[in-house]
Amino acid sequence: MPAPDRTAIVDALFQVIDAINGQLPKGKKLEKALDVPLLGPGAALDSLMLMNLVVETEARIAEDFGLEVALADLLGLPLEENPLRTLGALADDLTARAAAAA
Amino acid sequence: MSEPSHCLLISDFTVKSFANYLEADEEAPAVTTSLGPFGQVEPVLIDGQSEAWKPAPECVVVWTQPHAVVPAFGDVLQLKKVATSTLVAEVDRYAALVAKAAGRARIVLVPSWVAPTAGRGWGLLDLRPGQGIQAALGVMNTRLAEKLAEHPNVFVLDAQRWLRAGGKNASAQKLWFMGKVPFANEVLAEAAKDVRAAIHAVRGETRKLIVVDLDDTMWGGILGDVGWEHLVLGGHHHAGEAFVEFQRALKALTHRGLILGIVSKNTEAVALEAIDKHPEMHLRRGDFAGWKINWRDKAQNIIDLAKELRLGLQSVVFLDDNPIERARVRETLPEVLVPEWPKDPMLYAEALRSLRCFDVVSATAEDAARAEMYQAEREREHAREEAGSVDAWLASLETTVTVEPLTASNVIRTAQLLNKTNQMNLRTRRLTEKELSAWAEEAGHRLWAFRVADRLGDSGLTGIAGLEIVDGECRVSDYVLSCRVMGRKVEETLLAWLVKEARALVATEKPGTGKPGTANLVAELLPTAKNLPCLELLRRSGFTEEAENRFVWPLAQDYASPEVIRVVAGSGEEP
Repeated sequence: MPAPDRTAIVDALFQVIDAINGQLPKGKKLEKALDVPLLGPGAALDSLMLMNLVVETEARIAEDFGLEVALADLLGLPLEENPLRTLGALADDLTARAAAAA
Repeated sequence: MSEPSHCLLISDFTVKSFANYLEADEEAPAVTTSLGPFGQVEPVLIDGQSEAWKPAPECVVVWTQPHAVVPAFGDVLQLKKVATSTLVAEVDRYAALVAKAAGRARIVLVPSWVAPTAGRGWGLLDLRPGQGIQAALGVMNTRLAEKLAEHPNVFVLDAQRWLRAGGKNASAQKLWFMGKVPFANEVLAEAAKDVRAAIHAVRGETRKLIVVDLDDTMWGGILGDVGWEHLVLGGHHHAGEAFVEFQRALKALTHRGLILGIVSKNTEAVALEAIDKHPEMHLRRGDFAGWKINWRDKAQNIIDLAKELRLGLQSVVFLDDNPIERARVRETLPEVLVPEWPKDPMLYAEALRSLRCFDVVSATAEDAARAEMYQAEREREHAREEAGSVDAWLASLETTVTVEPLTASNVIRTAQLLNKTNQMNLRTRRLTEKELSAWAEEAGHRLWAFRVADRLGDSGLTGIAGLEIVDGECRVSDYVLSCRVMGRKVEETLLAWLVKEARALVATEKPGTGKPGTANLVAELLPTAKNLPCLELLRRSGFTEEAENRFVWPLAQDYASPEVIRVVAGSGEEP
């Protein structure tokens, strides 16, 4: 299977956002935008929701692209170098992982 | 709009995501949640004064992992041999703790136990009694359900079904190690839907009437084009078999107390001929309580059919393969539930069986016989048309009203009627069986249940009336009548009974300044969006409306019981 491009990965992440939004009340749902902060100041997700996002993302990437990624360790990284700081940074990280695995 | 509901979640694992799903659902009622302290299941269940109980929950969910509350099951997970009697004793101890919650909330929900992983346990031997993990879980869940069945407001929910929604990741090992959440989000979302259905059920917000379309819903093909002989129904055809299966699923729901109706754009005589003559039709004319088969607007037909069956639109579910018809009914009649419907008829039966809107907190003999009662009602209507006059028709019915005290045998049905009835309901009180029994036993309170039967059939327990002494007045606490028996002089029979019994109660209790024989009976209506029929009855009853919604009858004066109805005393034991 060829490595998925960034667009395909962003689509997969938007599906993850749909799933996460199922737990959020109206008015607090996450916007499907690449610059939405997921971690740190201004982030809309609490630690449990962030954990959910990590696990949902792992499952979605495996389901859509047959790619096994382990993202749990990201939760401990400093903000400035953490791919979870925004959806766009996470998409970049996953695109690089997919290319490396191809 | 339904009142908001508060749920207390007690668990040995992280249930915040589950709480999120309960609160995020935009469907009424709004649900708020509070979480018991993490891992403190037993202390919270034992201590009714615990902070966790302060928000006075309507609903409590006690969701545990089996090894957390049945320690011996931990040994089973370690593939050790454990005596069944040991497991059962520990389940009994835990069930007794859960039962303590029964008196602190309106409804207590206990998800059944599931294995913490999808592992194979003892493999080939895993269902061998006394040995395997699944075998032990089966024994434990059955025992738990048996013990908790002694409490009418405690329900064990089928968590195994929720796991199917989670697919292969249902037992979420990653979420468990990272956050002590043992289930995938899909499982929690499915569980939240069932909890909401339970809240609707305990509030009596249950759908009663399924209205189905015909062409491409009940059968395949357009009847008017192909004729009944060529409909896709049964036979050696996958879609034909699927339509029969859908009809079977509809029929099964009638055994649960649901009633069926038809709203279809067709020629009535042609459609009824198909229903009567097609050899593989599983549902026949007698299975339907009513129908509107014509070329008029379906929304209007649903209104007319519900009115004819004396049901409110909030009782109706409408099933139609056509998305345009669904959208039209949804937009015109927002109270009617119009579920999205699969395009493929092979998925119809499963879609029907998955609907959550039919949940009830108890099932009675009346429920099982409801379809037959509506059949009898159709015959009554036919008799009314033939009788010439209303009085002649009523006399021809030979109606008997049996009056019973509230007993352990009839309290389930009585509470069910109290909580479900909207139209002919003076005060729309909603009480659990336990609350109702406790109320009836208090000094100065009287409560009766009424069964109605005539020569065409037994309508079952269909009326409730109650009296209470409040501030020196004798008041009607409850006046409830099922729509099934309205318009047959049963209304006046209940009023006559209340006047007679109020006189006896006043003489016994001597309330305040009232003197026996001179006090009034007061019926004060609490208006709702749905109980206008009760107000209209009181206005034509002969009671004096001395203030808005407040009606009185002088107890010195008899209230004539209709001569066409025979009133007999019953024991309250189930017939």
